[in-house]
Amino acid sequence: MGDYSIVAYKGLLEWIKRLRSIMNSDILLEVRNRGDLQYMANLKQEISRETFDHLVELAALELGEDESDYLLTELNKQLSAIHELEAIDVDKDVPPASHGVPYTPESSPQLRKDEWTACEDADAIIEQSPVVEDRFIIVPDIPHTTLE
Amino acid sequence: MQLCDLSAVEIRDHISSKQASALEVLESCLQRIKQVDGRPGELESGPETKEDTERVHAFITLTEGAARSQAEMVDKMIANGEDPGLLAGVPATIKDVFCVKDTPSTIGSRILANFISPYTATPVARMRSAGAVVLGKVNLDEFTYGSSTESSAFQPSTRNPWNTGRVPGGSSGGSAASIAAGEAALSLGTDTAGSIRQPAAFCGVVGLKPTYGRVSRYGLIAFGSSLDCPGPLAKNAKDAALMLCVIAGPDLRDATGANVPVPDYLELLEKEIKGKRIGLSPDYFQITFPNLETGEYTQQPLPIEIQEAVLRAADVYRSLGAEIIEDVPMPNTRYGIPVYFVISRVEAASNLHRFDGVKYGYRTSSETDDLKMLYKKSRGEGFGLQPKLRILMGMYVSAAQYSEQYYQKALQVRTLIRRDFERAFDPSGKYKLDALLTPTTPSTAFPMKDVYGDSVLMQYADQLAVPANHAGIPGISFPGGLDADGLPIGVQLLGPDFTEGVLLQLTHAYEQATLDAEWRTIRPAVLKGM
Repeated sequence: MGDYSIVAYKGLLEWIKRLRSIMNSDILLEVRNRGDLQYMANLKQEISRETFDHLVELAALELGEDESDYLLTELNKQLSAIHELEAIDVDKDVPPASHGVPYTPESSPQLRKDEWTACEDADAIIEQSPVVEDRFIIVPDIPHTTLE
Repeated sequence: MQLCDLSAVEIRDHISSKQASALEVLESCLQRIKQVDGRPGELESGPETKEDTERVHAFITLTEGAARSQAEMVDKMIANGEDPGLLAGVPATIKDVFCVKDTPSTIGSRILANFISPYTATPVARMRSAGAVVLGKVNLDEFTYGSSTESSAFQPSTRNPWNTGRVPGGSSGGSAASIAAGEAALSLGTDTAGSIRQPAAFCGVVGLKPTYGRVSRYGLIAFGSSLDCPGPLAKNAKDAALMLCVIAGPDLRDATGANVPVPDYLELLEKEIKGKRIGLSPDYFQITFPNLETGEYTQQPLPIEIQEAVLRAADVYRSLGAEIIEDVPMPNTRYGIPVYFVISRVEAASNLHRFDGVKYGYRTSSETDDLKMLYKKSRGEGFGLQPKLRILMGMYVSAAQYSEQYYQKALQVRTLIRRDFERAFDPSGKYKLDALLTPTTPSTAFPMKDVYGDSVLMQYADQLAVPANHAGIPGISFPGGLDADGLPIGVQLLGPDFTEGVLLQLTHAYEQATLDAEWRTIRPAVLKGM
């Protein structure tokens, strides 16, 4: 049974092969670091390292070096795929869809009465916090700047 | 054939008629789990052993004690002449994306590994109230972000019962595998871009993605809030219908739950197929994918075995009196993935901001000078690569300077995808379809580790499933044969809003008409000798 026997469609097969050539299928990050430099160079690096670092800061994520390389490469690959949208001719009057299924007055959910209901076990919720003292959730200093 | 190999309806009937007790059924399932499942997924799993590669690993958390209490309660009710409900004693697994009170609810991530939910998701609560015996929580891709279950932080990840060298699909991989291996009769999964239907296809079971809003999302850890749909994975259409009767319907705790009456799906199953209009679209018999270097797109036909399985199903429906309408244009199908890359990432990034190491879940153990550093370290250490990737992509495409170009455009193209379906299903239009018949996936189950890590290729595996999520319509995947490697092929039906009853009816009719098919005698490899 061939490794690829399931993926009979030829084009996709070649694509997989190409991608596999730049990626060790066993240990992901190792491969990404080793990566096929030519391929990486050909792939448009639309999201620069600088933009990436800014995003990481906004997202409040501390990343390992090996993670950054993988994530930046994948972001640019995904963005290349997203660019397909630009080629679509969409009339200005096509409305955006935030949901697929329209909500009619009949199918819209009934609103709850604006009534207070007690939580059955508030302590069970507070106890979820990693550090609690006397029902207070403990955190380190909250950064602040003094306004001039 | 053991008790655990019976369907949910058969189990319920056995228990109600006292041919078997709920406890006996539970014991049979536990025995099966012991035989095939291997060790459960865990964070510090150590190296993979040879035995690991031969087991299913559907479970993260087995809740044997709670299951036993529930089974005893069902047996007691039966003995007292009371009705335990539609799912009396039926063993079920829950994808670990649902909160279940007093049970670890991990979403396959380190960041929620220690989270013991203080409440229970509505669909789970409804299943329990109907007498279901919940066996535990099953594995999934981390935060449901994947199509193979390999990205779970809880390893070993689930393997395909038909061939443990193959993935079970995802993200509801543990759900589908647990049904295929006879560990449970029903499983509750979620479908954001095919996450019920694709693993159902790969594992040879039935998977139903209901209409958006049909089943409450209360207690479901959110991914793409406008796309997520809880739904059943089952051995056949009748079981899926039974489970949908229980979990569907409005819920005051879900402001997006549709206020639409729930029909008796079991009753609908037996209706006539004659006169139903079933469409075939050339746009679902090919896959379009990009060359990332040149930006050019290539279209390739699907593997012939998969095409043939769908056409055979069309023949079955024709022979039952349905009308098959060919060449239904669905021109925006190919845009489903790029649109999804934008919308799902924006919604994911928004939903994942709440994980901060403060209120619940993982908090870094290293020293932190201030709150900001606590956030960064906790999130950096707690999230795996796939959630990080989605957060960053979502923030990029929704940034003020790019939002018009990407997010707004994606929402408009989503309208076009929806219009494809509206045109095909319009009762006064050209096609007047009751359902569209398509393949579920562009391939059968691929080998473990083959695609994992390539976030673009993995996503394109969902190309035929994701349009239903954009449009909000219901879709079902059911087994339609085996390929040359002996792996299940999934056939998909898509229908208008809230026509789950018709999709289940058509699936049931196909099952009844192919009961004698030779491929139905073949069982998953892990059940050899059982």
